Amino acid sequence: MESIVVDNVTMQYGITKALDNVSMQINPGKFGLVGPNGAGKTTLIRVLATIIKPKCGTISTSKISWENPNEVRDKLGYLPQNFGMYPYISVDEALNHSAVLKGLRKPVIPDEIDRVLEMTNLSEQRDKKVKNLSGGMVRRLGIAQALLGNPELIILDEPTAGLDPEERVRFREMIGKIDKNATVFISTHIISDVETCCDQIAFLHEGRIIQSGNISEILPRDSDTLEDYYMELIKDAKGQ
Amino acid sequence: MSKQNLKENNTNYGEQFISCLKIEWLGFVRKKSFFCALILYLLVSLHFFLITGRAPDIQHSVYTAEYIQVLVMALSGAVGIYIGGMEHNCSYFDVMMSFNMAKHLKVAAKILTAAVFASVCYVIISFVVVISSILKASALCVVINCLQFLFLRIFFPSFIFALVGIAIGYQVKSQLKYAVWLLVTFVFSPIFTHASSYVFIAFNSNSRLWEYVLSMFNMGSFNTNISEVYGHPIELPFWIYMITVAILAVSYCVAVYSDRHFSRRRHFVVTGLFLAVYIGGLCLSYNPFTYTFFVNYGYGYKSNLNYDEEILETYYDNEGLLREKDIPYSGMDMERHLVPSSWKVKLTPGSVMLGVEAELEAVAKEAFDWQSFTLYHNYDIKNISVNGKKSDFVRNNNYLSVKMPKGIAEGDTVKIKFVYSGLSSPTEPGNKYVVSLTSDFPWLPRIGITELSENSSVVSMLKLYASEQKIEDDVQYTLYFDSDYVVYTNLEQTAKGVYQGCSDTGVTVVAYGLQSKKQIGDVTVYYPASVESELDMQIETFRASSVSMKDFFAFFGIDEAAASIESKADTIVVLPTSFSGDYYQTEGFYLDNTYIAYYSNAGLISYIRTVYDDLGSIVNLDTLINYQLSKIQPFDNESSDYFIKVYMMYWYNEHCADAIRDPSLAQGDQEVRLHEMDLLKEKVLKDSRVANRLIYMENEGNDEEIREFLKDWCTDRMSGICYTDEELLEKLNAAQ
Repeated sequence: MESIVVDNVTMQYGITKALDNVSMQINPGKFGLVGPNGAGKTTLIRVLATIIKPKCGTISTSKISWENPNEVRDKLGYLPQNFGMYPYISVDEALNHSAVLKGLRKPVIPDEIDRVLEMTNLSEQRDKKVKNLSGGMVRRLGIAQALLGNPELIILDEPTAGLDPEERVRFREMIGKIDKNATVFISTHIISDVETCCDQIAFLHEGRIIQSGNISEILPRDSDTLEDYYMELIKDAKGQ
Repeated sequence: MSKQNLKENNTNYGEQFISCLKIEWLGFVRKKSFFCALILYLLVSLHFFLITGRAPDIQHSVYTAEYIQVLVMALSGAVGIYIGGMEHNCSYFDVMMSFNMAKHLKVAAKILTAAVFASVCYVIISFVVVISSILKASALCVVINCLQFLFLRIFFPSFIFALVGIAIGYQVKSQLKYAVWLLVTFVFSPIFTHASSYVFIAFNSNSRLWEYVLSMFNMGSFNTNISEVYGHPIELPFWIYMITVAILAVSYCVAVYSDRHFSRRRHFVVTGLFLAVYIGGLCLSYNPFTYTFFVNYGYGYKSNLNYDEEILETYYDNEGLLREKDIPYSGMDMERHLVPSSWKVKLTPGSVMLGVEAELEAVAKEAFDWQSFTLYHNYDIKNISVNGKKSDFVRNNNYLSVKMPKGIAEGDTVKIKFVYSGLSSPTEPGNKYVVSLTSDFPWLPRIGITELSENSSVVSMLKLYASEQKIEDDVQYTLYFDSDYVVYTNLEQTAKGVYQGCSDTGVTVVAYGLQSKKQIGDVTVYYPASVESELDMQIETFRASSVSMKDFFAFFGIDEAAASIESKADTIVVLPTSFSGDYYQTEGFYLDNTYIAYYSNAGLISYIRTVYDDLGSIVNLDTLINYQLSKIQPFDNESSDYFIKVYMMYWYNEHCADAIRDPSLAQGDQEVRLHEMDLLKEKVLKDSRVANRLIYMENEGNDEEIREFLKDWCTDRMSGICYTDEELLEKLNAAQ
């Protein structure tokens, strides 16, 4: 997918500004959005996923504009923060349902399901009921449905929240398998996830982007880790 | 594989909908508790059939179905809760649905799931009912009944309740939702109906508030006879209930689904709206106009009559005589300690209730502590004062005992003031549309325990006579009654709204208005405004019936009977009657070119029957009475009192008919109307020598002679001897 340009996006709930003139460029690859709780990550995700419209500002690529949500949704795979699924249906049935709702052609659906199950390492669980899956598996199922149809833009909202270390490693491996041409936008407050998975990053604090760009470019040489740098940024932001 | 090939070019909503439906069902049928509930439900249903389906008649099937209906609805609601509750695990879909039409498709799938479930229940219940009843009753009868009854009572309510269940399931997240539903089911069930009815009876209440509150819980729906246990005559029509609940359920679901992410405040607001619609619907269905309509002209007579009959059967023997020993007097003093000298009565009929302020002046025969009275049980006594001081009283059905102040001695004058209001009997209505309070009905307290003759008198409406039965020695009555209509009473009018006179048979007050008229072809129809909504149906039904019946009668070679009512009459007057066709079918009749039709709920049948029965009759006073006689059973013929009542009813109608023919008489200034009435009366008297003679006999003649004459005449009629008006006149003169 082409680069996504977010230009002066502002979102306001009552008197609270959830997003305040957010501007950044999201290039193809893995993009991590980092920020503390309440920074506005989910709001930005929801704006990008065309669930809500920003109060002002624009989002676009060279070919499509977020003014036409259907064009975006056609290329979108989305995992919301609170992902749930009908508990009494099987993994296979759940993915089939998602595929139909996404508008995938009937003949390609079985192959697509096989593909995403393999990617998410859920092939053995395909006949299990959703209620019998572990938390990590449910999360992987969420990612699997987001990957259905090979979307060009994949938005994952807090995909690793509440996962144990083993599942998180598995998640990172899974992200690595995603098509290199697709844009994967990950929102998280766990810096290490971004550090290992993403090549781009944006720091969000109180609705504002305080730093964004390629990780290798923005990370100062004197900083040992991304986490240290992030802590410094937050400290500076609070100081201002 | 290219990405473009993966997706459809156009969204296939059909496939999406089927997928939603499949998911709903997969989740639905895989719930083990659902099957447990279904099996339990079938067992309980079978249990009800075994208990109630013993007698080989259709009614038992119907009653059973009413109970089963509640069970089905309870289960439907529980399933609805389950379906609605599944939402909480599907937040992803909430988001995804907002992308496209799929959200609406999913809601539609849920509703369809509920409908399918209701249908399945409907089919199962029909099957069980039919099979059960085939073993015990006429299969055809049962099948026909089931088809029409169960659809209304099982399928539709189940569907509605499933919808409400979905909404509740969505809102209440925890297991608490099943407790909520249990509560909802309980308050909608006959169990609660009966429980609340005891409260109603215990408080002997005619309070509108109570009525609203209790009706809100029951909604007059599943047990259609609930009204009678409340002691009021209205039976909330099923369709009003259904429309109210349907609007309620749909609006609730719409409200819930319209916003996926509720705050607590919104939950509260939606629940508040839910209750507001609920109560609003009830208030609408119970507004005074609707209420009066159903009380006086339609639904509900049967219920109240049942209630009264229950009392009648308990406290009266087959002859209509009071079984005094069976009355639980609770220590009531049955003696008549007071001799009444005057009554001052103020009547204030409201939209629904009759309000009465009555002051009795009486002389004590001896020293006493309590005085018993007879007063219709439905009136709610607000206050009783004796000699200006508030007094205690005890009520027991139609009987009332008032405590006297200490120190009352023989010869003392006692003034007792009664203030009461309430729904009058359906056969003795008292409201602003119709007042028909006859002297043999205890709408005014009577000293002592006396017979309640409401049900023992067949002709208790449209009569302008004081009771034949002597109630007291001469008592001076003053009646204050302002009415927009012509007032008929046995007292003389002394001023506007004031009527005075002496009577030993109590007071009769009749007033009602013919407020509307309609031109249908060449026929003018006069009718009470309150029957407006059903008038067209009545007329149309008659006409439709006339056409189909024409073929029917022609088949048997009876052409005369198939003529339309319009060919005979140029005026149709629809009079309100309180008779329920289930019990009493009042016959309509012609007066010259005027057809007098009686309107009542079940009167449709009698209305049509009457027309066919009466067509071809040459109507005069004699033939009318003769006609009526032919309808009377031999048992009734032995009662000359009854005969006199029948005759008097027609006498009244003949006088009234002239007034009715001129619509101006029913409008405008009362004095003008009265003057015109007098002129018309003169005309009637001049034209009808028979009527003249009868009126004379009534006013001046000897009661015994009249009775003797009528008894002979009755015997002649039964022997087939007919009189013309001339012959009748001669007979009457001879009798004098």
